[in-house]
Amino acid sequence: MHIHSPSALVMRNVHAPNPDGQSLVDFSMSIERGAFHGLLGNGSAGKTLVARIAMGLVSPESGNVVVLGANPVPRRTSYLKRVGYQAQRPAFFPRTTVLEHLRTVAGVYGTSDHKVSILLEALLLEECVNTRVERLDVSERQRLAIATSVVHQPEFLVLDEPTYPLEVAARSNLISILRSSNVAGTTTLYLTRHLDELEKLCDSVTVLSGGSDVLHYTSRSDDNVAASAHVGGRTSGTYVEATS
Amino acid sequence: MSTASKSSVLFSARALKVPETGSVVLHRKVQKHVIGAQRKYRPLVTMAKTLYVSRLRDPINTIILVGLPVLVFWVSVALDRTFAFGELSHSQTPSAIVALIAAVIISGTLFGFRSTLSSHRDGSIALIAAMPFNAVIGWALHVILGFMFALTSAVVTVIVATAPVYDLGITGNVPLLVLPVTAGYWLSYQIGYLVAHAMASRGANVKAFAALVAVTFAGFVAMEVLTGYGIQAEISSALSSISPVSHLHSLVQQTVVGNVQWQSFGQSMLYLLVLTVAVMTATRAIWTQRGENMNR
Repeated sequence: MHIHSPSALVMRNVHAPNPDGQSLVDFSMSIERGAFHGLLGNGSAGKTLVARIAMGLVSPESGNVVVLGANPVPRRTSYLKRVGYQAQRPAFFPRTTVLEHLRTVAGVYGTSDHKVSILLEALLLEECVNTRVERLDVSERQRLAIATSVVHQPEFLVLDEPTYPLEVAARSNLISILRSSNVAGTTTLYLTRHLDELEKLCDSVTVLSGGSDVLHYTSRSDDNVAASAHVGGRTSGTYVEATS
Repeated sequence: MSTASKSSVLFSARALKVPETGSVVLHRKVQKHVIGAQRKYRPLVTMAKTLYVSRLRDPINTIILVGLPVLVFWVSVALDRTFAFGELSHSQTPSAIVALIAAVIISGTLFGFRSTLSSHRDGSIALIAAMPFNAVIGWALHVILGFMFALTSAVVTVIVATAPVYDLGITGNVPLLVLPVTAGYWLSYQIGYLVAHAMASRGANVKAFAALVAVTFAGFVAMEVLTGYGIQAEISSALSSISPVSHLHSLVQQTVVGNVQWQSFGQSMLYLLVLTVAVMTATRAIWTQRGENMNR
């Protein structure tokens, strides 16, 4: 069922078990359309589980999830065309070149080769267009993963810790690229464990700790920092201090 | 109008080519049909082409797909020469056919197994599952890709098997021989795929792959030894009591001697069709499940 909603993503009172880390307990979050929203938490806070629920890969035990006005489960072809997901362990066609890989993904989604060229330029992948994916370094692979997830210009994009495997310099470089190439009109959910990335990229933030949302912050709501601890949630002092 | 011009007009009409000047207007219903079909199947063709090229760029895959059947056939014939006394004659054609079938089954199974495991390992299977294909298109992709591999291998194998250098008397209609060999390879590929997929979902590793290789080759060697000791006749007799095998066997024999009986050909194709539908149904079920369980 399609529901008209001003938010790109709404999660309300979500409970979901997580075999790989922290389960979600009464988790709520909403993202306005067009926002670049950060989800901050430590390594096993359950960020990836939130992303997988939003992508319709996991169905929560209870609670409501609405993405782009519809329930992401069951997964539908029409829904998959509107979303993009850069997973923490991205997948590629490793024996194709960068150009072949992107053209294949673009071809599947019906995107033109011209958009592929633009993307290659924006993500500084022009120099390695003829390099096989299996021979790319970590930084190039991450940029290609991002390119793969946005090549069809999704309305809702999830980036799951794109800077996680990178060295400091490569991380900084990727942040700059993301800042300059933010696709207009795309709502982005950015998962990270680094506060400095949120500061540079995001205009609203949810902090996740112990499986619950403990803090919602938006830079646009007030002149002062609008941070509110979620009632009943556990608040991490470090996150609040740092965010403030 | 020249052939090139006719093609050009056809491609323009099918929106496969943009004319430099002028415009192409199709009847609305035709336009809807043509564009609809293109939108539906173009992703399928794009993906099949990429996966085909990508898998063949793996040298081990290429060896299994093209080199292994040739090697198995060559070894079979060599062993046959060792065990057989006297000169090879046309009466030994059935042994060559057995070698051909063995080559196809071993290569097809291994290729299906390895390429599926590789795609699980490098994540490309998850990437495909995340794409906006419906279950039918995804299933068709798998079927077509298997057919492309099977045809590639079958053509090479049959060309080698019918080479005059072996003097095996396989002088029949080569294109007709390609058909059952392709179908056999395709079926073997699907079996390899199913085994690999079942194992990958339980954490398959190199040892499992090595075990399959060992078992397959042990079976092959055992078959060769049994053949050498004259037990082939008994095996053939047992096999001919199984109707589908008997029909397939007679089809291959008749094809290679260039004396095809179309009734037998039709029956054998029917059996192949039934087997194909069974395997396709299984792969489709797995594909659908994979789409739902895509977890990357």
